Amino acid sequence: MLEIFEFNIVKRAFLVVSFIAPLAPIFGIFLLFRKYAFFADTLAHVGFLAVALSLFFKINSLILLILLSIAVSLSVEHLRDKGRLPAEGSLSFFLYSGVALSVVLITFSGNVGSIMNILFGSLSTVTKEDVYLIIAGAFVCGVFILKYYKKLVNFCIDEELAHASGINVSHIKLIFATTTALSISISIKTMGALLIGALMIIPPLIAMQICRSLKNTVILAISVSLLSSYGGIFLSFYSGIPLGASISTVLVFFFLLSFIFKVFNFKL
Amino acid sequence: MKAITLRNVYYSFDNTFVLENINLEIRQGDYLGIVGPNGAGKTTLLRLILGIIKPHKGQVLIYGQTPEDYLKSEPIGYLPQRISQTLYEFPITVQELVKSGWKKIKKENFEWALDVFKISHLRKKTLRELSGGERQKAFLARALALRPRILLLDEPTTGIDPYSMEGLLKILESLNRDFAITIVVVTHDIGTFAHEAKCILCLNRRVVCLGEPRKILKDEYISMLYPEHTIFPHKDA
Repeated sequence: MLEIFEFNIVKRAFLVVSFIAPLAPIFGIFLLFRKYAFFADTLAHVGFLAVALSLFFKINSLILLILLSIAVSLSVEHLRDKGRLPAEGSLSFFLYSGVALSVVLITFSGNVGSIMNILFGSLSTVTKEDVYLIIAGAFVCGVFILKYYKKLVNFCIDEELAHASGINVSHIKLIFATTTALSISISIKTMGALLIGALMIIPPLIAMQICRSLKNTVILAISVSLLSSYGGIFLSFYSGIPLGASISTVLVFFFLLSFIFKVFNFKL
Repeated sequence: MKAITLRNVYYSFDNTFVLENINLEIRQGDYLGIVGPNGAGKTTLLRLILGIIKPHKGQVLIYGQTPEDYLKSEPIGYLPQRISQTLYEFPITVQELVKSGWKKIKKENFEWALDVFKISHLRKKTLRELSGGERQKAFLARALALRPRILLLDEPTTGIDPYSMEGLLKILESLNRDFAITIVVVTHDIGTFAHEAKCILCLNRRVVCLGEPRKILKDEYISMLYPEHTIFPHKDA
C-alpha cells in the first residue's frame, strides 16, 4: 500500500492538501454564517475561466487564476454593497459568464481533453512551481484567519453589530473577499472547479450536524476535511477517479455518517 | 455631559429626505424612546449615530467625537432589529456569542452581562436551543459585556411575550439608573416605553416633539405623528 508514496505527484498532492484542506472549511464556515455559500461556487467557476484562459494563451494558470478570482470577488462584493444588483443575481451572472467563456476558449484552444482535469481535479495537474504558490497563498490566508478570527465571527454574525463593536467592516470585507478568492484559487487544481465548493461547504455541514459550539465546529470541520482529502488521494490513486471527485465521495460518506450520529443524538 | 449630539442632520435616500433638520442632544444617563410610524427614519437615526451611514448635511457627535473616532476607542452596545432571528441554524453557544463582541471581553464583564439578563445557566446552550426571548437576552448580554456607555436598541421587545418583556424593561431601567448607561430605544410600543423612558422623541422624518412622556403623549402630538390613528394609550389616560 505504501508504494503510493514513491510517486512524486502523490507526494506533491499530499503536501498540497495538507495546506488547502484545513483552510477551505474555515472559509466555508464563514460563508455559511453569512448565508453566502454560493459565492464559493461562483469563484470556482471563474477559476474555470482562468484555467481556460491560460490554456488558450499558454501562460501560468495559477497566477491568472488568483488574480481573476480576486478581481471577481471584489467586484461581487462591490455590487452587493452598492445594491446595484441583487447579491444572488450578481453571483449567477459571474458564474454563467465564467462557464460560457471557458467553454468557448477551451474549444478554440483545441485542448478539450483537459476539461475533466479542470472540472474535477487531478493528481497530476499541480506542478512543482504551483506548490510554492499554493503554500504562499495558504500562508497568507492562514495568517489572515488567525489574526482576524474574532472580527470575522462578528462580521459574519451581523455587519452592523460588528461596526458598533468598533470593527472596520469595509476593511474586513475587502480582505475576506480577497482571501476567500485566494483560498479557492489555490485549491482548484486539486479539487476541480466544480468540486472545490464541496471541500469548503461539506465539512462545516458535517460538523454542524453534531457540534454544539463554534469552536468544535471549526475543529471537526478541519479534521474531516484533512481526513477526506488524504483518503481521497488513496481512492483517486487506486481507482483512477479524478481527485476532486474522490475527495468529495469521501466527504459524502462522512456526511452520511454524521447524519447517523445525529439520529443517535451524539453531540460534541 | 453630552453623550450624543446631532446638529442640523439631513439624510436622503434616492433624492428623498428620510431625515430633515434633526437637532438632538442626549446626555449621559438619559433614557430616550424614539417613536414614529414606519418609514419615519427611526432606524436611520440609529445608523447615523453609529456612523454606519453618514449624514448628507450636519454633524453627529458621540462624546464630542465623530462616531468613527469614538468607535476606535470604545464600543457602542447595539441591538439591531430582528437580530435574534439570525444564526438560528448555526451551532454557536451563548458563551461564544457574548464573548465575541470586543477585542477581549474581561471575565467579570462577561459574567456580569450574563447575570444581568439572568442567562448564566444558558451559557453552554446553542442559540437554536433557546426561545425567542432568551435569544434576545443573549444578544443584549453581548452588547452589555462590552461595558458600553451607550446602548442603542432597535425594537428590543419584538417577538417577546409580555412576561419576558416586563423583565427586560426592568433590566433596562436598572442599567440606566444604577450604571448611568445612556439608553436609546427605537420602538413601536409607545404604551410600554411611555412608562419606562425618561424622554420620548416623536419622529416623522423631522422631530415632531421631544420631552417627558406625560407631556408628549397627548392626542395633539400623536395625531401629528400618526395622522390616521389618533388615539393611543398614554400615561395621563
